[in-house]
Amino acid sequence: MKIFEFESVRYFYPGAEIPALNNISFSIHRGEFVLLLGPSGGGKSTAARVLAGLIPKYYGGRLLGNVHYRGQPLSECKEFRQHVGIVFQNPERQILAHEVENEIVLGMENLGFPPQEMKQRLEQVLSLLSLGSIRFRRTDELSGGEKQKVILGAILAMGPGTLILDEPTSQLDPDGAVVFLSALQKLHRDLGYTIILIEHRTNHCFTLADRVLFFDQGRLTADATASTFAEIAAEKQSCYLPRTASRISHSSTREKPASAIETKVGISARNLSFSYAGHAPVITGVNIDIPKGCVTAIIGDNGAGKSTLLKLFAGLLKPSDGEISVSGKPINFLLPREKVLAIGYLPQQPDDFLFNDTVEEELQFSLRGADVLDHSRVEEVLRLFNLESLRSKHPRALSIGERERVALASVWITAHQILLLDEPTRGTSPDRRSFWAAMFRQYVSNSNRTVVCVSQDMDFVAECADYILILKDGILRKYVSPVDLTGDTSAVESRLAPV
Amino acid sequence: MFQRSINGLYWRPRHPLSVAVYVSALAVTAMVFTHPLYLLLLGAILLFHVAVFNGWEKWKDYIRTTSSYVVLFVAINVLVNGEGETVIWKMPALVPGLGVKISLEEIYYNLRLCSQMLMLLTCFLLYSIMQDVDSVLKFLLRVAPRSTLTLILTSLLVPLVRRRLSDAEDALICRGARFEKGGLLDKIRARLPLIKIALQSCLEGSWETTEALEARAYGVGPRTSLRLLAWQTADIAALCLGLSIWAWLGITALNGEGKLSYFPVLEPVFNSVRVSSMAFIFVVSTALPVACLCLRRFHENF
Repeated sequence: MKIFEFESVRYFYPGAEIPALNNISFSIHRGEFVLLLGPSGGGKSTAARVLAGLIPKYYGGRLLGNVHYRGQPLSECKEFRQHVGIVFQNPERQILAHEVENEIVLGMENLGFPPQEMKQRLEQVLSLLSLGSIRFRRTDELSGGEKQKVILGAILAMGPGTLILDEPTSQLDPDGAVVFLSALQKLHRDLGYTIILIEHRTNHCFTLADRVLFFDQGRLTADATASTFAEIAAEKQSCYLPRTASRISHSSTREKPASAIETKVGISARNLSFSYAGHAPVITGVNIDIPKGCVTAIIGDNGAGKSTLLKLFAGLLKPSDGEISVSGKPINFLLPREKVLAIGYLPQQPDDFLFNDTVEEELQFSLRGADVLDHSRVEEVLRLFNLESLRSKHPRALSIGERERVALASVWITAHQILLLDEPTRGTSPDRRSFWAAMFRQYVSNSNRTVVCVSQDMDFVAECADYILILKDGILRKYVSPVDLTGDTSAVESRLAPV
Repeated sequence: MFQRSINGLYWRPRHPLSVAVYVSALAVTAMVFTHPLYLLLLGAILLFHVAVFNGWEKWKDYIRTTSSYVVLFVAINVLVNGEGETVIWKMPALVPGLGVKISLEEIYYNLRLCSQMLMLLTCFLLYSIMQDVDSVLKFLLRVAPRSTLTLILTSLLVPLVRRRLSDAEDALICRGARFEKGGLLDKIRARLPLIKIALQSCLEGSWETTEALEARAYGVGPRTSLRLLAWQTADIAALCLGLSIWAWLGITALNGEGKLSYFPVLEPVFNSVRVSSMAFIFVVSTALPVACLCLRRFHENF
């Protein structure tokens, strides 16, 4: 039985002249697990929002063509919200109540369910998703994975037979993502839910899918079973296929960085410890020499101290004990200007921090901050990042991929010796992930430079890291090359194992 | 019934109305009484409440961030006002009429103001730790759904934006922003980008949050509630006590009870047995429900 049917659908966002969806036709049957893939801006999320009834009702714009739900025009379906649920990317911005139980029942309360039925559904959801132990916890105390499961529970409690999920695991660590996807698998296989999933990290979900729809530039360019798509994509869109292990094996063929052989040290830490006032230590006794001319990826579980270590390297936090040196000079001896010139730092979702009125001003702000007077650098970097045509546009008006490019360019422009990045590929598509990896490889091609990035994205780590630093509970467990990890028996192996 | 543990407590007033009446009565008391004995005892009661509701750490944070402003306010007041007859230091006026005079009465008066401000802040904190936010929002949704939507968005966005701002500050420092350099104007100018970022994050964040509300069928029709906000014994007790305090305040306002005159000369603090005994009765009765809560918890634990 057909649940959804798209017939020649075109959609224009308000004020847009180019359609976000261009002549799309497909149908989704009851009980199917459909994976939507494609580059950023390809039309996946727009299609998902049309399926969820949010477009055009909530977004406005023009929707042409026919969208049917169970044979009826979608706009005429009553109680649609009860049948189709949607889970978005960022759990932080979807949590609406302050206690888990209240969060789960919120949708049911809005739909006017009788209390007795709510109680029954609540118990079912808690048991299905194993949320009983956190039922009365505050939502702001939950981990990202727990939050996303609670949101899934809140949607399930409303009783939909169809679930649409827009990159639900992009903000989760690999373990959280596996737990979440296992819950989806259970819903699909055991309870017959129709699942429509947008996901960039295909390692764990590709094998769950019955069908793959591939969107590119607003068009549906492939509609095939998972196995057929794998054959088609192997040639042209191989970055969308799960292949962490193969990438790691490829990285063994990468030439050993010259600087690693010469052992020039970019960042050095001795007996480094850190704790926030009145709290247990976050980083304990870290000793490490990070070589120049290399990309180092810091990996570890949530709360392992990865971001704290990065902030210590950036000189934004003062160690409780120990010392950090940048190119042999203690970091606390660096003058503010020297520090700005030596270290570039980008926190998570760096595109959120763009605030100037044009792309060009954004780059000039960085130059002014570093007291660099060479304005030809702006032209050079605009060219390098292919931003010349966007120079006078407002950074916030750009697409996510373009905003990320501007954010990286704004740090790149001062040509730091050390570039520190906190999860640069969080929630990004495989093509954008490849962009970051290529840029980092280019950056360290100058053997005086070092890139250190925190990442949960093992594909990205495999693609660009020369060294992997594994943190567990604030303690440095290993600092090795990716190749040496393939025989590792620690938690890292379990992250690679599903591939 | 709500038999759930919040901050480890099973017996507590939860109804938004009862908590509001009770805490507002304590807050108004802190503002109305000027007698130091009353204020001292009221301060002790408030701290007792904070400790019982496990808000000690939050209270310390509150006080740490606000005390410097309170002290600054008191210092300026003492120097500028110059009232009172017991002068303890005087600077000759270089310009006629602009001399500085510090009097004992002024110091006492401002210490009173300072303690009242801290008590008022403690009452705000007490409300936030006694009250379950979701219950308040559900209660308000029935009364004013649209305004409550704004409240929901604000209560969700403020902590998010605060966290993002901390990251933004780090990113800007590494791009050369110097927040501590120069005078006040320079510091404000350096922080302007942060305000822009906060506003933009708020706008983008609220779009995503309202989209999530839409997905949760917000506003599609009449709402129901899993648990009705039933009145428990604790709610009735808190409401009665709150109303009693309000009534007492009304009576004392007429009688001039709990007041002390600071100017031109400080009135004796212990001028009658009646004041001390009234203050004692007030403390015992106000602390009664929380003391019962402690006793109950003690019995449960041992």
